[in-house]
Amino acid sequence: MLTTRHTTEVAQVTPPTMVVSDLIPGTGHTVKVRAIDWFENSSAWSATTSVSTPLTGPEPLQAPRWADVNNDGLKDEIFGANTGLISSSIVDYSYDTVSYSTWTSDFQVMSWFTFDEGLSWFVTGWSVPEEQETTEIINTVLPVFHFMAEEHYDYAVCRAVTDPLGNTAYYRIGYYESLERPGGIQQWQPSSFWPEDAFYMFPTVAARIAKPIGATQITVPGGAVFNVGVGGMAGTITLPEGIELSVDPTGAVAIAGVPGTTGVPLGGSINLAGGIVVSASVAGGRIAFPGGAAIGIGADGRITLELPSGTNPALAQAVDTVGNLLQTGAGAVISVREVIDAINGIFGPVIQLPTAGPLDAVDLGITAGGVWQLGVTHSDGPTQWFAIVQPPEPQIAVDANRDGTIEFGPNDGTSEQAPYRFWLNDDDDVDDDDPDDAENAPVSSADWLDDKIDGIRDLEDFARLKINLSGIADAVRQGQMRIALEWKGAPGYTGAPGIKLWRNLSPNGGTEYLSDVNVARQHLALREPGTIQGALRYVIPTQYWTDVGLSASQPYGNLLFEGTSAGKDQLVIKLLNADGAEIGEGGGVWLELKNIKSMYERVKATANGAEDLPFPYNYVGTSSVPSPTMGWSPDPAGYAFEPAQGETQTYIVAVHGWNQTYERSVMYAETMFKRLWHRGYKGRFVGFRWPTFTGLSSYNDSEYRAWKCGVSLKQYLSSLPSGYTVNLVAHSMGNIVVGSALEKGAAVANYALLNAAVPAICYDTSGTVVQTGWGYVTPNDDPDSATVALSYQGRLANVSGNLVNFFLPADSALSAWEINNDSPDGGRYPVAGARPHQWPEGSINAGYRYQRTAPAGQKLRVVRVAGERILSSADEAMGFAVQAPSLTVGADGRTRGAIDEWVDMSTYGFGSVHSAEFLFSIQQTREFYAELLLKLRVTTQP
Amino acid sequence: MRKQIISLVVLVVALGAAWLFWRTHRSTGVPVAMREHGVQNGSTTKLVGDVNEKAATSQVQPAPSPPLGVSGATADSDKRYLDSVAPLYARPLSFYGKVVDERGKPVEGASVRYSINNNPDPTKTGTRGELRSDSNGDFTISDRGLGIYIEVSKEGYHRVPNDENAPASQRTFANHEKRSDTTAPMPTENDRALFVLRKAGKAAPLVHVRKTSIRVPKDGTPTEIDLSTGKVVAAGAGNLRVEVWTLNQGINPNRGQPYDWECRVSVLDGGLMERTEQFAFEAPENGYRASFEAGMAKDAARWRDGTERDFFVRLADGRFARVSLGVITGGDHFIVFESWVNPKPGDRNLEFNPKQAHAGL
Repeated sequence: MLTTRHTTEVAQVTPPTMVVSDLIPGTGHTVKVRAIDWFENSSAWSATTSVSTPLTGPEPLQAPRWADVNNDGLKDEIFGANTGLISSSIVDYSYDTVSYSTWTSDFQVMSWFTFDEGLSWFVTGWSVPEEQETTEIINTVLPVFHFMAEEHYDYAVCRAVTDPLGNTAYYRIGYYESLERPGGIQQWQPSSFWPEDAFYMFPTVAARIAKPIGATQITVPGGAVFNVGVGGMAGTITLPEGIELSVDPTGAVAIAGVPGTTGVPLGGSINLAGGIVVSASVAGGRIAFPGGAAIGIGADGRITLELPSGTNPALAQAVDTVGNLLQTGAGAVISVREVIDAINGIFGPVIQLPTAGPLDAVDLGITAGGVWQLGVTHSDGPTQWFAIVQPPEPQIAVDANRDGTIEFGPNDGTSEQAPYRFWLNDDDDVDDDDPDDAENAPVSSADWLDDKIDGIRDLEDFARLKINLSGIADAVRQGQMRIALEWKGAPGYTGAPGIKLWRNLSPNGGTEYLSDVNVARQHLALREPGTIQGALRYVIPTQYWTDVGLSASQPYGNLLFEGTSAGKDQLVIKLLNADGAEIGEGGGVWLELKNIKSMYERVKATANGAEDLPFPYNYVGTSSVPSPTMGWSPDPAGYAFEPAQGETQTYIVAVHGWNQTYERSVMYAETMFKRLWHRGYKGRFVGFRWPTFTGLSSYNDSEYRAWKCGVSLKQYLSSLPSGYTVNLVAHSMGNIVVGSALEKGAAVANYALLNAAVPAICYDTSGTVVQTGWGYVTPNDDPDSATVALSYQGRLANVSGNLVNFFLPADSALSAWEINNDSPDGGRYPVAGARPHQWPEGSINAGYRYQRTAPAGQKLRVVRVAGERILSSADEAMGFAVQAPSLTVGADGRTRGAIDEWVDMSTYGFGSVHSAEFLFSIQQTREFYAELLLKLRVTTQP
Repeated sequence: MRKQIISLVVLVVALGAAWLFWRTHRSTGVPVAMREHGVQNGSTTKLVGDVNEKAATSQVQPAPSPPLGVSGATADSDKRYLDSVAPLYARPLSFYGKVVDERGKPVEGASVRYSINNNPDPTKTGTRGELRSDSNGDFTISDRGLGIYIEVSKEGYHRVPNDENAPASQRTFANHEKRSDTTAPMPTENDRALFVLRKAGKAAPLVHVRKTSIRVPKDGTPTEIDLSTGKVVAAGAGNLRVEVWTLNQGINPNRGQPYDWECRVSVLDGGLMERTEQFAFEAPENGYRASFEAGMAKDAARWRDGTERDFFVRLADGRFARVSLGVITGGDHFIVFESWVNPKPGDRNLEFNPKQAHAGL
């Protein structure tokens, strides 16, 4: 009994107050007061007021929601929207009316189902003691379990209960604790299965604060009916669709009304919104989640947690470890630190204890987002929550969209249907700085056969791989875990793909190996690549990870690969422990390795259905030369073209120049294709073969053929599917072929002239490009229009399309063109064999003549010992008889007329090398190919 | 002796028969090659091989003397070609050059890279090499060849592009008298060829976004770019806005048909000004416009599908930048740009040295 001794003057109104401390927690007290004046006169005692001191104990670890939902005087935990400790799988709670008798057990194991309306119900069986019946409005509730450290026990599962006065107490589950409720009901019963089952039950454990007795029917919005039979261990849920789910007293779940199962209690499954599948049978129940995780309830009541296929084995091990620790039962002495240490031992220091010293409590929970959490509470501080985050599985990626950046996400995703295609490294690059020895064609030895990189040119046959080891970087660097790559043999694989792995020495795993000569050269010292072929996996040496400074902040490994054999499969990461034993699988990337010839198209010009053209100068004494029917045909060479997934509707048709063997023209085409591909080009590429001669003295014969083959090219271009933008690229004399096609009306959007061996006066008639200092007398300005019609003059001045002249002022081959263009007598160069094309034959100089003084229409002719012929074909005239008074387009950047744009290739360091774009390495030509794409109106990566 | 006489008689008889055969057929109008192949007049001729080069080098040659270059090349004709042109490429070549800066001051230690046109095989490269200018900026090259190409460079200097009316940093020279208009005559020791380098100013640590291309809509929907990253950003978050209106729907891109297009380039809360001088690296303080507009009507005299411009840019936060911007309405319909941003507000220095590039924001 307490009294206040404070007195106050009558006139003063300050309320007397006093704080009484040092009371025993959880005790009740009564208070009454009286007043005493200076003369010790005392008033009567006041009425008694009862108060209670609060119970002591830790505060709730995470504020639950409490309410006395059944008016029994105890606040009950309510699950619902804010179930911080409980799985997000809980959809909702709902009110309804049930009959209950008494408090016998707060917890039941339940399977749950979600109806169309999103309501959740719990199906279970429970025993119902014969107690009095009453009716209350209750909630389905879910408890918050607290794992608490106590004296004598390292943990116990407790539930917080708040009494009518608002005091909260914590009670162990599994040990008899009594609490007298109003009405004398004993709330807690001994329970042998707590707490270990509680741990497993988190996602599916529900709790009720009351038990129904007798037959109960619940009708919920949406039309579902929930029946609980007398006896408790049976119940049914009837869905509006006529499907009935029932549980018999043994716990067996049956579904009726499902086609094929009507009336037969076989069990079954229900597909819920979000891809969740709930299934049940006499063997137990199972809830499967879209990610592959599942929770199972065995017939023996044990709960199992199934992890998704491919789950990080470390996580699985952690779950097992923690689970085993908790399953040792309440009587075991297990320290909290031991649990934490076990977790940290597997994941690394994922749980950082805030301070040293004993812990008071640890909570294990799951957030609404499905993240497992561990709550640590000290006696003198608030609970701190730590997410037990599954380390992201190791990922591997390629630059699938070829934007220059490798991303671990959908932008660079691959699949069986859309694999990352790359070519085999089966060409024959030469490790020689001399561009004349850049690459052997035909191939004498495929590059992949040796375990070295054959010069910086060889690197264009390598692609990037990036590995992300976030979360396990330290373990890998320290050798506790090892990373291997292997072919998965995934469904849909084809062939027997093989690759060799190399380090990518480009900064940050970038593309500098393709753009920076110095970076590229660093690769030439690399040896001993990793081989992945068939079942042969490659374990990346731990030293590699040390060398690249693998860490939590730099979790990447950057590699290059070259294809060694064709096929398609998923390349996957395998996780190994320190002893090399496989402990799991990481991400993968679908690769398709193929001969490059199936990645682009080849066609060739034909004549008369074959490939023959006559030599016109062999026809004299007649008025004409046989004119073959020109055409074209595919040239698969054993490799049919396979369009890529996601190709853009663009064509780039490349036409080679003079003096190209078949193999060399293919090599040039493939070089260009590779370099455009590396710059992000995703359209179709075509190598157009025409019958050039080889040999230094074959220029004029070849030019004649080039003019003839324009028909073939035009026909081919006309055959291309509609909807595609068609672009042309031609090199050197290939521009004669293209010019001939354009002259005949070929339709193209853009045309890049590379080192064009075409007289500038073909395109530009302004006179600017005419070399008056040469003193040539040519047919191009002849007063006879018929003669001019056989010349170069303005022949291509009106072609359509966007024409871009990539010129090289010092081009050495186009300098040789000047020699060939010279007149043998009185010209600039004292050499034979120049134009007009002549040769000694018997007693005469046989060959072509231009006689400016001859009658109109007869000024161009071919003369031989056997006779002569007046020329009527411009193809023949330009091939053999007509000189040009200008440089070539490819040597004269001033050429305008039909030329729309111009690019000086000397800015790329090409100097005087006629075929630098093919003979120089990709590192030396990268900017050129970027500009080429832009001029063809195609975007390119940075 | 008897054997020799018999051989001589046989040879005379054979030559006589050949002469009679030629006399008989030379005026018949039958193609030479047909006669040589024994093909009947009027029948289909197949005179040369196919595109395979083995055929190209094994053609049946017209008699009596395979001319240079006739019927494709042979080893003999190739040799004759090379023998014929070899003297041209073997001309003595002495080159005297001098590297100076834009004020005519000699530049010592400049890199002089050259390639000599001295390989008669046009499919091969000639002699290439590199040397350094001496303290007077002079250098000399002695070799043989038909011509020479030279380009000079030095760190701390800008290369000067070709200009018909002024010395540049590279040039082609012809080692013969009748050179073309685009080549220069060979210099002499007393009249050296000048190569000019422009001394670079003090570079600022600029944020450089390499040349990149970005697709843009055709309907005028704005594309906003952060000039410091080169990335497309959400509306209001960038500092360069590009709008393009292109009316080429339904037009076959392969037909070269012109169409109407317009574009507008704006700097949000800032301004831009066209940059026309290659070596202008200091952004003007004033005179900026909010936007730049360009376009082409389909009936324009010299219609193009795009435009390329250089700009000075003043950003809303006081930073200055220069931008090379191209708008391409053909093909992929995109813009291509490269930018240099001075991250220091108010600093108008836009001189760039890649070795001092700012890491970015």
